Amino acid sequence: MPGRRGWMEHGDFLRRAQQGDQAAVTQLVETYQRSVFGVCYRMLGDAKEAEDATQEALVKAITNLHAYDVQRPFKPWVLRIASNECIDRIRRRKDTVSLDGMGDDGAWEWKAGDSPNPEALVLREEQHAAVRQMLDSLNPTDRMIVTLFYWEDLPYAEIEAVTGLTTSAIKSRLFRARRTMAEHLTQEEAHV
Amino acid sequence: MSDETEDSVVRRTDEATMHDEAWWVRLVDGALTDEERRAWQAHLVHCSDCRREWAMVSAVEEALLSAPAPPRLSPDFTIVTTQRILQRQRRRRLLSALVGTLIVVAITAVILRYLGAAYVAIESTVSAVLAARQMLFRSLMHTLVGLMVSWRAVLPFVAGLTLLVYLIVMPNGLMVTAALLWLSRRRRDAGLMEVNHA
Repeated sequence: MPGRRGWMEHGDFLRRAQQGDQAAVTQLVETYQRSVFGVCYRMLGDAKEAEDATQEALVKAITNLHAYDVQRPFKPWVLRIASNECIDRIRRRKDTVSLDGMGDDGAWEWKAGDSPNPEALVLREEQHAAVRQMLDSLNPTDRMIVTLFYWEDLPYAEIEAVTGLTTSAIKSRLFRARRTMAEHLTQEEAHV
Repeated sequence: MSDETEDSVVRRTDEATMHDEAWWVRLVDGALTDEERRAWQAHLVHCSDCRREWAMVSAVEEALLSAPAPPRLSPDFTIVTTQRILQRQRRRRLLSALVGTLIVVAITAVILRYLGAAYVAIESTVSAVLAARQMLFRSLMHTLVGLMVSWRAVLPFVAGLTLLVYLIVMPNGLMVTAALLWLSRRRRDAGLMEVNHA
């Protein structure tokens, strides 16, 4: 009996989704929406825009299943599409919108039941802001690698599939990204 | 080996390499051997630059790992996304069918165009053949009518010619015919004589 992942990646199932089977499409969306949204949110920093990007990435991935090799895992495929979507959006807004406005969408606002402690909410917002600023100091590709490595827990082989880089290049970029973020963190602490 | 001090390990692992990017990549990736890790710990004791950088990198690591999870997606996200996907798939299929139909129509039109041209060419050839046949038939008919009109003048010539051909081609047949006629007359004459005697 194949596991959920194995079943999800089964060729027949993906073929059904490609042919417009509503149940198969819904199942695919439900399975991958969280991961894709996580990546888009870390990349874009804005919950609303990340949700739009997630939807667009899933629509593109599932309507272009004919171009997908069923022998390979589906997650890197969909994350690669999400990554390209986010990089396009970052490039488009680069000249017009500042990334400093993260959180204006209310995504970080306190919600009943989420965190009853206002101090915890403040701490959470500070952590968000710190991480956001660190990620903003990176170029989109390095931001994607950091996101996939730290929050999606993808192995190097799957990060390779998403980014198209070699493992050694990924490791090297990951280290440089850490160093860049460390420098940024030091500068921020010096300002405070 | 048990008496080996940390200093001796550090000496064997070139300290200059610990400032290289390759070393740091292996360090943060957890790819150092036990011996290298001991050398690294010893190096940190007296290298303030590496100590500071290691602290910074560790702080980044901690900040990233302790980052709050992203917010939740809208409750209707799955439904809306599924509907959008199905709608786009339907549109794509419709578009594919339309394009396919247009291609088939275009190809059919081209084929019909060439078939039409070929049909016209064949028909003109057939028409020419039919016209020629008609002319030939008419000429033949005129000839026959002419022969019928001048039949009297031609008849002795035709009869003579036929007799000549018959004589040349069938001399034995002529003799048999003459013999049969002679025998037939003799038998008839003999019959008349018997009737007279009686």
